[in-house]
Amino acid sequence: MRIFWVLIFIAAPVFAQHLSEIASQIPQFESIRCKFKQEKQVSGMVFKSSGDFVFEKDKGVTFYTTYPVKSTASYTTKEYRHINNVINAISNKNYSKLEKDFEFSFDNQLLKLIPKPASQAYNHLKSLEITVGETKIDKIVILLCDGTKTSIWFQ
Amino acid sequence: MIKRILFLIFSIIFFVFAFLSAKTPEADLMKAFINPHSQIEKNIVKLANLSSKTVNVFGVDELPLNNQDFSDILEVYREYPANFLSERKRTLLKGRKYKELENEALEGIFNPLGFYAAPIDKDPYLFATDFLMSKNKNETVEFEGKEYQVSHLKIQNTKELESLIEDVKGKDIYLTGTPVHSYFASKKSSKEINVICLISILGLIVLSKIFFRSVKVLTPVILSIFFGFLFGFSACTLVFGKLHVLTFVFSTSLIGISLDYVLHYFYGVGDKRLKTSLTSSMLTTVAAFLTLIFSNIEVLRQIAIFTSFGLLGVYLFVIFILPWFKIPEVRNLNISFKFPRKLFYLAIFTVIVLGVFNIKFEDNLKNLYVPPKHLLEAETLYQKVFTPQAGEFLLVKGANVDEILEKEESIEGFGLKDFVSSTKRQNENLALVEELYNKDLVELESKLGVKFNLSSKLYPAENFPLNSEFMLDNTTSFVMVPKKTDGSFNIADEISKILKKLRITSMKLLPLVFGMLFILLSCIYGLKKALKISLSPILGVFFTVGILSLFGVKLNLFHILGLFLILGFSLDYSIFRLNGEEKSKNAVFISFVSTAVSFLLLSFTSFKLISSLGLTIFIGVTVSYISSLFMIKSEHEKI
Repeated sequence: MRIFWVLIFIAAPVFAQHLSEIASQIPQFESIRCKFKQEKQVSGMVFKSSGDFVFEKDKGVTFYTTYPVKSTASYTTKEYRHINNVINAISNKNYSKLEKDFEFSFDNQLLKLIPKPASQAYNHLKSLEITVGETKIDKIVILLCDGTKTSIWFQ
Repeated sequence: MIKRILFLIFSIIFFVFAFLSAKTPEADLMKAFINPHSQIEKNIVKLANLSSKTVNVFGVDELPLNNQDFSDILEVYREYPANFLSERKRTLLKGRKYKELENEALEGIFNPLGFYAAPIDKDPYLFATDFLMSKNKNETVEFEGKEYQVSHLKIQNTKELESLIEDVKGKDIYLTGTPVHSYFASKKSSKEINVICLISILGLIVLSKIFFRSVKVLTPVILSIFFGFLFGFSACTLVFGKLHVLTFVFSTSLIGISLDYVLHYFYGVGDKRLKTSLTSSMLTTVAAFLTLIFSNIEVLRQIAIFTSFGLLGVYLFVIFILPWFKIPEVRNLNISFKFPRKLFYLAIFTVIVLGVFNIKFEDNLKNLYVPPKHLLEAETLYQKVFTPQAGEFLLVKGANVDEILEKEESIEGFGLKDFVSSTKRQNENLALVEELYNKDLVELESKLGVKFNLSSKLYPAENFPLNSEFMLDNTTSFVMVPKKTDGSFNIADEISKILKKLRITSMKLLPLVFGMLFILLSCIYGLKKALKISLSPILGVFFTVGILSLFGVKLNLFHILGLFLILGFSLDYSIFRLNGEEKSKNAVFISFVSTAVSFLLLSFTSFKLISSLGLTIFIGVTVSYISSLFMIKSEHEKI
């Protein structure tokens, strides 16, 4: 039993790290255009798609899906204000804005955000995992409360 | 002695019983006005109550979280995804635009940040998600270069509201809606009660020093006021349960009124006619207050009971308890007023005659409440930015929820039909979706690489969780329509109509009440003396109406109700002047000053209902007192 509490005590800082420690290890992200690949696991089914990704700093993100269908999902308008706020905060390393709504952890290039109970995202989003590369994000995994898991790779 | 002890024991039991039944005061402004008797009034109150829990939160900054639990509603859409369709999807289905529907479904499924109200294997075309999104449109409006969002939050209690007010402090966020107005009005009323009490107490101290040379007289005075207050509070609590905060605001006038009886006792001790005068004074004032019960206005009915029993409590205190106290030395100041009598009468009658030709009435509910500046600014901005609907309601009747929904579905407006559909509509939707599946599902499955196993069933609308928000009773719901239509009504207009009806009833009651009081006085004093006693209050009433009209004040129900109270208070001056000894004129003077000041202070309160009453009574009692100086000559007085 004592070993259990010791392990918890050691592990705790990983899941409640200070922002200043995390922020210094993550690069600032600039506008980028690249390819993306997506795998969505929902209701026991797997849907794969791919296309072009555009991130314009301080404007938002756009996914131009080209396979298996042609469609555009753009998060640059006022309708997606909350999503844009999160994206802009991460790209500008303005984590203090996110601190109110998320618990942070960073380990081995993996930034994990877990919504706090008082946040708007808490009832929908279970966790957001961002694998950070040298100059860009390599992978995002979005896990929703209903079990939907979306993994996006950026190339 | 035994009588006094029994009286004390009864009083203590009475107070304890009342305190055990006491509840937190009511601050909802609507509940101060309406106690429904007819079905239409019940519907108005229910509709007003439904909106009275909603706060509109809008602004430029990020809005606070809506903590309402919608899980039971989401569960319905999750289980019955094809039963409820947005207008847009219905149009596409009716137009057989299956390719468009397919493409929209694929976009939604592959959307990286998409969420699904129902599992995709039950709802491949994402109808439930679309239906939910159509209800949850993020109202963002651009106005003067700023982007405003709005959220409509349901507030359950004051604590929630205070937490919300704290959340938005310092941000570019505004709050509007009935709960916000009630909260700030209540807070202001509490402060005003404190100020009025403080000024009243200071006034008491000054009067004590002048007329009794000592503040020791304050002990029996304060005890009598306290006793009267407890008596009134206890009776009111036992009758009504939950008291309105405005009742407490008005009850501060008890301070001035209660003082009268103690003063008359101290000045009139030894006078054989004192008890008769006290009793007839108490009876006439109580009778005048009790007429407010017929006003059908909740807060006024409470004021009637509170003040009547408060006065009764003070009267009983004076009779049973005050004799235990040492009679203080009273200072007999020779107070005389030299008014030019003819000029006084000329002024009074001129005002009355001119005023009669200028009488105007105002029954509009909106004019009875003037919001604080910051709330008025918020309301004005909300109107400009979002131009909300006019607030016209249409009642829809049916044997059951399903029948009601069918009728609602043919009405343009916002109602229960926007959240759940009738059986007929659900069958239509399911048939449309069935056709879509027959024509397009195979293609969708091939693009997604999966096979769906879909089924459908009807949802019983009477089980829908939101029914209580829209159903006024088992056979009536309401729809908010965008503009006035045949059969629609506006809540504020309906309440104004009720107030008008009450005002007219009160105006008809006034001469009847006066007649009743005149008969009561005749029984006690005889016809001739009763006539003498009645003249000053009548002048006071007519002058008040005249002067208010001359100054362009439009008379409302509360001005009229104030006239009843002028009768009740003013008769006291005449009764004690006519029957009291020489020294009682000081008591009458102090009594007048304390009552007049009490109501003058009330006339400065922010809530127009109370301030209208306060101003009316102040003017009326002042003129009644002055005219009683001329009209009533006691056996000991020379004018």
